[in-house]
Amino acid sequence: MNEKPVLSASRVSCLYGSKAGCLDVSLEVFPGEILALVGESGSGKTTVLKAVSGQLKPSAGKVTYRDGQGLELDVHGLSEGRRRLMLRTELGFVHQNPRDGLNMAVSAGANVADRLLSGGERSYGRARSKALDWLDRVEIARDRLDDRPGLYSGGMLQRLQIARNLVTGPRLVFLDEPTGGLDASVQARLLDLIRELAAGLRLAAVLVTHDLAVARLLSQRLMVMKEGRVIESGVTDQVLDDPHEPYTQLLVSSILDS
Amino acid sequence: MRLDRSESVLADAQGECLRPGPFPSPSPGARSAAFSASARPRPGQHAPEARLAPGEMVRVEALSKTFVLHLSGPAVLKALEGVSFSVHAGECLAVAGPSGSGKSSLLRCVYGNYLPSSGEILVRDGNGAVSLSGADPRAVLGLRLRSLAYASQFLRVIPRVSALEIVAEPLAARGAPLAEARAAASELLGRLHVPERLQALPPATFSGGERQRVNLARSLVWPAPVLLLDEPTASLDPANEKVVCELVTEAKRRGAAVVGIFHGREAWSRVWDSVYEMRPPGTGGAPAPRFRGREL
Repeated sequence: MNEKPVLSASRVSCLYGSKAGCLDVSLEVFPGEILALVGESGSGKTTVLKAVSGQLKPSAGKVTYRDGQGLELDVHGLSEGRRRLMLRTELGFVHQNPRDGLNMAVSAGANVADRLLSGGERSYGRARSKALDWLDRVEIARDRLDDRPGLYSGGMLQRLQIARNLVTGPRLVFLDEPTGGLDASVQARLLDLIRELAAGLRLAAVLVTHDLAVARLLSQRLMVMKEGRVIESGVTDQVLDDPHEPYTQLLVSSILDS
Repeated sequence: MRLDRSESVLADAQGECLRPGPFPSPSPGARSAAFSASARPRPGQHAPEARLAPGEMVRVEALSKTFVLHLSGPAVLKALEGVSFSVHAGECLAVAGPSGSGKSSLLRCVYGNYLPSSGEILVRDGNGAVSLSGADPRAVLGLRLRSLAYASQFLRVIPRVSALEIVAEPLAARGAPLAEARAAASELLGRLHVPERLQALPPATFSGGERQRVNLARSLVWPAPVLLLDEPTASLDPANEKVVCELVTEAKRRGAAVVGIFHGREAWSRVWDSVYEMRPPGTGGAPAPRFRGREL
């Protein structure tokens, strides 16, 4: 309980012209914890994810990242170079469409090793052996290492993207609908992988999903967004089993079985 | 008035294992004074030890739970009204009452799965206590990690994960090395007659009874100070029911406080120490716990 958050956002608002992407959103994520943001499309969850991961500068509010040494960094006050380095090494970002997070022109192995090399790894041999190790952990056969990702299935691509993100040992990972668009059996396998990695590595994660069943299985805490604002939050099972806001009740009652 | 009550609770608890009856229903005025901002710790913060008597593990005071269903009117459903009881270390309280009297809702409130509408729930957390009425979510999660095990009637897990991993997980999450956690999980599942060939499989294809045993094993595999059991043996045969009763008796012996719904099952009458009889809300509230030591 005396732990300090890895990430905190304080009263973050993002305006697109006169339209609000998100309004007055505050959140904290602690080591080893997955925080889920749920809500329907257009509720502002992806905007929040972009703002807290440093990709979109908020119109108001502050985002603070605490690095491995306990140093607090103002994510949007960093120089462009420092911010990019941070995104490549200490943070991970898993996109819904793995093609957005991978370099489709180079081999699967290079996708993983590249991130290490651009994050400061000097030895190509070490990068390759780490890449192999991570392909094992996400259950991609070693003989597929030199294939282009274009030859991979959807589930494999997503596992490759996860390996690419985790190879640098980030402390905080952003997951944007990581299992969206995958069929149920592939999704189950990926959920198990994410859960295992998060627990084993004491990763902190912010998970954006519209799938309440995914949020229930992966996250400890949940925030419900509507029209850019957080309308309800709490322990995940509490919010899903005892929702108080009309909109949350609608969301929960609209799913078949969670 | 509030002070008098806490003193009497402390005094009563000294020599007695069981709490002698519920707390007197305070008048609305007294309630608001007792639970005013100054008298009550900030939500989620560790309350002063004085709020729980020595050895007291769970205390529920004047708990009410009302659901407001916005999509149906709104409809207002009263699930719990004026529930008060206390459970000490090493005791088992059986929650009884007809269907719809709120037994499961009560356990869910104590676990932090339902938010109380009014009243107070205190659960011991080491030397302090956590209040579950409006607690900070992280305080609830911390309390669950250290103090609370809850076996619901449903097993909810990630598909594809084996029964063994599901049962080992609560131990691993509390810092046990994986090999040790798996060994303990396998032993416990063995006692519950889940053979090794089944332990290696995900429970999706298991029978109702097998799933229930996996679910129970999850809550019994680590030494939780407080155990909440919702019909733990509803779909078990007598042999397995006997094992579960033994396991819960062992938990009591190591000092666990147990609150359970046992549905009049004979086997459990040797496990529970007192019964809390519930009535559906609006029918006069719940009466005092009945003590088998004195009455039966």
